[in-house]
Amino acid sequence: MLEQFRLVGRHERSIRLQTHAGTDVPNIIESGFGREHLERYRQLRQRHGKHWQQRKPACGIYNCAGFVWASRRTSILDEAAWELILNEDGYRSLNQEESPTIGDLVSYRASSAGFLHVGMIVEVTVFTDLSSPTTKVLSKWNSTSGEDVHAPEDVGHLRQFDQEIRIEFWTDRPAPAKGKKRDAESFGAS
Amino acid sequence: MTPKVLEHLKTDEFAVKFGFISNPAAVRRLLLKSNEIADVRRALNQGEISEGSVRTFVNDLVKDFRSGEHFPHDSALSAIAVSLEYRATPFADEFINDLASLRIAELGHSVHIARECKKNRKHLSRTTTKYFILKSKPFEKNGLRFEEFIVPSNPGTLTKNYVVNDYQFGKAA
Amino acid sequence: MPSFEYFLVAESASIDQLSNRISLFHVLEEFKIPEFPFNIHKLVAVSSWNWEEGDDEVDFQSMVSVSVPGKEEPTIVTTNFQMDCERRRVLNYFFDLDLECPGELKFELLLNGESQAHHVVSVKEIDSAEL
Repeated sequence: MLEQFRLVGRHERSIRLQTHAGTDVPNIIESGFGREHLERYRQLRQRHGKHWQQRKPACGIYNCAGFVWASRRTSILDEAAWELILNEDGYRSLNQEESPTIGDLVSYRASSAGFLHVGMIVEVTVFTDLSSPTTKVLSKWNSTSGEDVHAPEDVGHLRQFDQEIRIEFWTDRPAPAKGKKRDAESFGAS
Repeated sequence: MTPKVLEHLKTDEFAVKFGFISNPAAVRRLLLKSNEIADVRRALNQGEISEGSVRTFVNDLVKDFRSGEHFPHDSALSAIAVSLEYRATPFADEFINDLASLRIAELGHSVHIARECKKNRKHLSRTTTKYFILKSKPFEKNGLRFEEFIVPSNPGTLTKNYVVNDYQFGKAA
Repeated sequence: MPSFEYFLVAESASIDQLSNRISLFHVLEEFKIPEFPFNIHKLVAVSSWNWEEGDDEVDFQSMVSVSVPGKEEPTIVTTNFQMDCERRRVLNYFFDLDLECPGELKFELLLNGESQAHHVVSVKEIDSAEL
């Protein structure tokens, strides 16, 4: 039934990738894409990404985790690896008093499905009237999409599954002294 | 003509819904709870579609494979794997095991999802069946021990087989 | 080694495709034969095994030894399997069993040569007074 894949497919490739602690991270350099994927990415942006700003058009090779943790070199598809990297690379979840800053990470976790996506904060706008700063996230949705800049909560395609989506901010920065506020967000199913 | 519940799995709508989530394990969990997979399972269980039609559907999908390009029906293969996850039939075994064993760059998510499905199938009770004719006695010839038994080779037919030492040969009845 | 769960001999067995449950029909306890010799067309010996630590990727062999009344040598059939699941059922169908005289039809189940269980079916001739 699947012999054609075996006969004609290209053997998967990976690179040597490890956490800071030296644990190997399984990865796969994914293929390029065809016209179907271009069309689907266009539909995704049309349906859910009206306010997204495209940084890079559709490209293959890497997914969201590969963009964030492997410099766009490969895809990290193994869920356990995402948790491993957050742990062994010294990331911590921002506490209530902290605000995210450029370079911090944003993860999207569904209540019963686990991690759906991870992106990187690329813009923080601070307002002179001291209202909460706004952040923008750079995301690579999958290994056939482009890269889009968006507001953290602007992920309509992740909200369509009747699950509560929890947005978490992660940083490698040391924990600050007490007193700073953070934007804590969690929204329910649409 | 492809049944509707299967045809939907290769649409852009389905691929856009499930294809832009980067974690295959999460995609599997979402598929498990989805109406689309529930529809396929129900259709299989109630006989509205057969495993044969699923096989035909998959064979059609495979025709769109292009070496070096991400397979356009990766989401559909993932959906089939999840639909068959709790089905203890040889076809489900074949599909999930075959998909899980692939190591090609063009299939990212569906292979990972099939591996998750395969892990979970360990919880299914499995059956090994063999058939023996007691009337005929085992005999020896040229130092080999022959033991005759019959198996169903196609629905409704039986085929005489022989166990020769530990090897099995088939012969039409 | 997988742990033994049950061993029974019945007229037939069926696996429900939807639920994957096994059903046994007419568990055999005795045959009342009007006249010998008599041919039993079909029966099935069913055993069930549970996965234990260390069973992965190991080949196991179950044997069913069938001792027919009046025959000295039992017939032994073997089935190889792996415990790639939590529970493995082994169904051995037997066709064309000839019964020559009354006695005990004994089925012995072995795993890798070690006896695990027995199932005995009494074979009796119907008393003409019962007809």
